[in-house]
Amino acid sequence: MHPILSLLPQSLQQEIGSVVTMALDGVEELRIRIGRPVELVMEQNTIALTYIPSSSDRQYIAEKISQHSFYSLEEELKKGYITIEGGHRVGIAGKVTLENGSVQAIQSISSFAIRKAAERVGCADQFMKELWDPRQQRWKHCLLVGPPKSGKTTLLRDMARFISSEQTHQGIKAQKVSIVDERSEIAACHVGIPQLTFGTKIDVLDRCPKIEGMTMMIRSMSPEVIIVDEIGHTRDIEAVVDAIYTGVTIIMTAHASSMEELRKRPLMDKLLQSEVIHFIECSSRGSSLFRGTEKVITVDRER
Amino acid sequence: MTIQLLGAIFIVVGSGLEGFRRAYMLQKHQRVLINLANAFSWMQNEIVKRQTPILDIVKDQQLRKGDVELLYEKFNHHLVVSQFLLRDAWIEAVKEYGEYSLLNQEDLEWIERIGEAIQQFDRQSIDKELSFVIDVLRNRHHEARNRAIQFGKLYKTLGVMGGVLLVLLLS
Repeated sequence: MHPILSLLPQSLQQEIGSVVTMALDGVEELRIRIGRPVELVMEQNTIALTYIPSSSDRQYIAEKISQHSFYSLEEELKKGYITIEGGHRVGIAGKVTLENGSVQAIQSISSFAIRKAAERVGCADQFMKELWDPRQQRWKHCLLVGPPKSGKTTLLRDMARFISSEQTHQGIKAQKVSIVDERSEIAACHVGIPQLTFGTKIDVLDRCPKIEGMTMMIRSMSPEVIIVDEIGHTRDIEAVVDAIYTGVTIIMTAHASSMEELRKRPLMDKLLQSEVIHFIECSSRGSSLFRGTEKVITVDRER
Repeated sequence: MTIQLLGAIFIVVGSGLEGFRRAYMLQKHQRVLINLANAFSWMQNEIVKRQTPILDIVKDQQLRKGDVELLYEKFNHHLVVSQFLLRDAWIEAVKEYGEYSLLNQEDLEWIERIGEAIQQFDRQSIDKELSFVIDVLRNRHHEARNRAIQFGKLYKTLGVMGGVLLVLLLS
């Protein structure tokens, strides 16, 4: 049985089990709204169940995800979701309480969105040989671009796994990888411990702002590669360029519909003029690696 | 004559002991109430100020000796072994605890309300509910203490004197 199912009341588990496998194969997300039918968001479509959750189901789920201590998640919930064991994310909506105009806590829950951790081990393998510099025995900088839900973070996570593991058949030793995970999306940490598949040489700074995080990691963990998600603001780009100057390899993502759109952004000039010449363009169809403007390899997305 | 004397002593001692027992129960009742109020107050601080998970609070409370330990032991059992939700686990624990306790039905009903309080999602609501119940328990403790002071000596005296009176009436 998938661990997500153990968070749900038995009657709901049974109904889900009658529609999909108990391993939740193909399910991306579970949408549970009090008083409305439960939905299973699949890769291609959405299945609406007949089960209508009640307020006692809400209490059950809230207590299961928080181990009977929902109040202890207040800080995490200020970011809108919590990460549970296994790296799955639970988004919560409902009535909030405010303090000095900012959200303090959720007083009453109306919806849960339980998102299964999307881990595709091996999805970065084909790109990695292009990013390895055998002469200098180091990884090249790389920027992953794509719209939301195009698989950037999944690819980034697998790149971190690849780099932090020993690649014996390719003769590449594992390197020290530091992940600055501002939103717990890359490593999906639960109580600070990464829940997804990585190599042995992985260090994660969970829920830490990118700029401070990169500096902290460089000073304290002597990384060979830094992994960071969603670069966008001027200060982020300046911090990345500064990190590049320290000799660390940076692998990062940025929101943009395509490489062309990214190149048009004046903000990105500084980054594009730096040592970053490898880009991976991600879309719902697949991903392509570019060296400058030249397309090197394209990998279709597995379904 | 000796048998009569032994019988008289037996009556006086028996009646006196009953008086002492009743005085002790009054004393114990107020002590249990204040111990529980203090434990709930500590739980409130742990939740509101430190956001300590409930299972950790329960573990710590089980280290306390006496009535508090018993109540939290039963609560832990229903929470972890029976896999009940917070409110149900608490109410079940209070019911079982009530069978061994000196507390009366009204005290137990107030203690059951702690289950309602801790199942809230936010600390503000938990704080409000717990404060209310703790205040009520403290008031009930004050009443119980006054009753213990007022009637404790009376029961002891009545016990001994009642025995003596019975002996006099029988002789």
